Amino acid sequence: MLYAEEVSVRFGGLTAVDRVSLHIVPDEIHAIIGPNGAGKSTFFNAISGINKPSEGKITFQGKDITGLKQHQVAQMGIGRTFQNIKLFGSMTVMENVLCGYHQHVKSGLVHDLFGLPSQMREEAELLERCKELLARVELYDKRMMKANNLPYGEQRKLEIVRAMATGPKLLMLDEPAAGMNPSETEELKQFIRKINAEGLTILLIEHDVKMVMSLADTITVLDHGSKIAEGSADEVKNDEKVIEAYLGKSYRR
Amino acid sequence: MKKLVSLLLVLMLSMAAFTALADEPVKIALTAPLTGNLSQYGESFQNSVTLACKQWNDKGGVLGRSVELVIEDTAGDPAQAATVAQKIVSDGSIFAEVGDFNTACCMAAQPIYAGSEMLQVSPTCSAVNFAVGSEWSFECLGTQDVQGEFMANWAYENGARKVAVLYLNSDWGISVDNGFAKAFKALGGEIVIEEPYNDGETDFSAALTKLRETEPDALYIACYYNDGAAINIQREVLNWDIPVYHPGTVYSTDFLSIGGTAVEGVLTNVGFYPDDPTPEAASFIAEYNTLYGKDPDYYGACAYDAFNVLMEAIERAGELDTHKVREALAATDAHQGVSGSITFDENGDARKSYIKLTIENNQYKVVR
Amino acid sequence: MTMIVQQLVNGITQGGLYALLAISYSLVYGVMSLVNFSTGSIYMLGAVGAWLLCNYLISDFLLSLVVGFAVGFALAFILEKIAFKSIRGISRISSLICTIGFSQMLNELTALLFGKATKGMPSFFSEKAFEVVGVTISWLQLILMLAVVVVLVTLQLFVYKTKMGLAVRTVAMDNTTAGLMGINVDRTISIAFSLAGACAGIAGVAGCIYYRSVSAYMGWIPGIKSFSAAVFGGLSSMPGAILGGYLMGIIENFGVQIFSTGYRDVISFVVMIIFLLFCPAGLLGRKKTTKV
Repeated sequence: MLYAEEVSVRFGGLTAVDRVSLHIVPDEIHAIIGPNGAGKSTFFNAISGINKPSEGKITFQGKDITGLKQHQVAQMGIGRTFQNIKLFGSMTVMENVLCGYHQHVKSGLVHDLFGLPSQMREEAELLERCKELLARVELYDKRMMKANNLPYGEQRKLEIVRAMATGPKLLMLDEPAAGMNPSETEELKQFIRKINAEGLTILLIEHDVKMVMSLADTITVLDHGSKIAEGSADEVKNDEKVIEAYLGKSYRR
Repeated sequence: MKKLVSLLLVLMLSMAAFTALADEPVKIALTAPLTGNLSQYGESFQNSVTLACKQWNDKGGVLGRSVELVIEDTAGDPAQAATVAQKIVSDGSIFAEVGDFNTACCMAAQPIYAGSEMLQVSPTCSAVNFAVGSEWSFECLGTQDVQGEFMANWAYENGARKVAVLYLNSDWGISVDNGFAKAFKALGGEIVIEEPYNDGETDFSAALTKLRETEPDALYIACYYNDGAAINIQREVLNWDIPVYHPGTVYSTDFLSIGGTAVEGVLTNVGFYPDDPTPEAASFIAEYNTLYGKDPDYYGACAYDAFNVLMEAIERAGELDTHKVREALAATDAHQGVSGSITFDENGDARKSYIKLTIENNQYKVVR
Repeated sequence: MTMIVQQLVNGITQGGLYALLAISYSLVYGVMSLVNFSTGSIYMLGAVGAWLLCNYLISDFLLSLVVGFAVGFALAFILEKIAFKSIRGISRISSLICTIGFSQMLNELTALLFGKATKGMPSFFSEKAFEVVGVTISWLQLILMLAVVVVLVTLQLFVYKTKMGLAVRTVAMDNTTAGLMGINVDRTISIAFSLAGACAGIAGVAGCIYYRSVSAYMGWIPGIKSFSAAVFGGLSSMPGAILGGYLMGIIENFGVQIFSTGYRDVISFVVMIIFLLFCPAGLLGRKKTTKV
């Protein structure tokens, strides 16, 4: 589904991502793990068009998306969340989700200014879909709240829902369980499984190794910007290099 | 015999010398900004004074001698004005100077003329500290005090007793305000408020509301035509119907076109009004028109008068003696010039007469 | 008492013009974090557009406002495309200087083509004032007040009730995230910038109709004052900018009443500075936290 070939990202003299290749199989849950500063988030940014790759090529569903702008990547069907939540804080929960639906509405400026009936109908439909989506994550009752005022765990959920509203085929989640308590993490795990089962391919960065091991079909391990291992949970768990660089240390700790 | 021949020869030579002296023209310098930003006024000076000079020569010159103009360009630049003044005083053959247009040039040249005891007659330098600065300096435009007194008299005659003043916060605006207020109070009137406004102001509704609260009989507004139009427009928007007096600075066709209905009935003055001239002005305008193909402006008219009062003073003095001519010039009384009547006060400032103007049907009209 | 109400009416009329310009600053600042100092020039060109319409085609109040909208919108659109888009993202100071440069260029170009002299506008609704308990309100003031309110309300509806408005708000908050939501950031910025221009253009027309004059340099002072008004109300908040604009107009008028016309600017700026000492983000502004 998504092929990254020899992708490098450099900032000045610093190489944050060094010739990383990756293949994401449709309908899988693919996880990227690695110690802090391994280049995981930078790699995400390279895919979603925030940082342009210095080298390499990224294709999505057969189309070259290297160096496209964020909104173009989003329109291709790649949604994402952030490590540090980036909701539109002073907007309502509902409005946040509506932004995600933004690209599905075709009407332009003139429609907006004069509110033609076709657009009103379209907007009514959108509102319905937003409400359904919010109901799924039990945020429906809080839809008129400011996003800033939600509890942390719900902000995470809202960010995922907002990304889902863009209608992605691939959903990239950057440390979705960060800062969650075990029960929230468990709930999140179930939710990710569910949306994956509904046909959404997932690319995941996560520090919670236990969660990754139980969730991911394929795991890629990055260290110092390079890929050091890839495979199923069992394969990665027993890889010498991985234990050396990452797992071992964290288990020993 | 030899002695007789030499005596005759000496006599003849001295005779020849004498007639040569009598035929030598009276040289008058004209300084004006003939190039640069102010060149349109310089051109107006040159045209008018050249015309005046020609008229004097046509009727036989002054004291039986022809008059010759020496025209110098000062470009509106005080440094150049000082250089030109040096050149004129060191020439030795030039009797007096007429000019300059702008205050800065007049002031820069003043000490040089004063030092050589040469008359400096500026047509247009109305700064209050110019003429008073040297006994050799005169100006023909009249200071703000005189205009203020004229407008104060007019307002008082029209029945105004309480006047509110709005003025541009500049040296000029303050002197206009002072000139008017002093004269109006001397007549026994009351100035209810003197409100300054800053250059660049566009909204006058607050100021007008404030003035209105003092319940004046009339307004005296010291401004240029742009602000004047804006103020009257906003007065109209506030629906405030009151007599408005302006100094002559609003006299401009732009004042009419911008102000529209709002400046209807506004009262102002002007020294020289080509559309409705006095008999003296009419012939000047006609001759100027034949020579140059256009109407003279007010500043040209002032330059014409400046040259003429100087010539008349020379005639009255009866000889080319600067001290005597200076006395005669200072004694000028009610010279009927084309830019109005001129009488010099003890400082050498002209006390001018002004023409009362109002606006009717978006046209200036003389009030008689 | 009547004087107070009269000054209030004057202040609200004038404040309405400031509010329109302030919201123009606020819109641009929101989506681009840029203070657009060519706002005053767009104000002036809106007025020039209306003058051309009234002098050469048809002298009509509503049509003038439409022309102001169109001129402001088109001009801002072009400016954004040719100038600000390319400098977006480079240092803020350079962009700021750029807007000042553009302002000068537009003013001087207009002075060259249109002439430096002030020109008069025809009067609409002239001599039709009415009095309410001693306070004179002219129809012109009333209609301008209403027109400004209509524009401001429409803009608020656009920003808070439409899809495009939502996009503008998301870009204002975080344009990277907005992009990831599939929002075309460039296009949204272009539209917000153009609408800001349209507001300035309408303000210019309202201004030239109120003061009944047009000149190439008429935009400078309102441009600066309304910028102050926007800062006063909170540059990052549109309702704040509107409030700031109206308050600025009202404070100025009372300042003249209590002190002197010569001190009018001093008074409004002193009030503003004292206020900003205690509330640096402005009346309704938010503190912008920089992203980590």
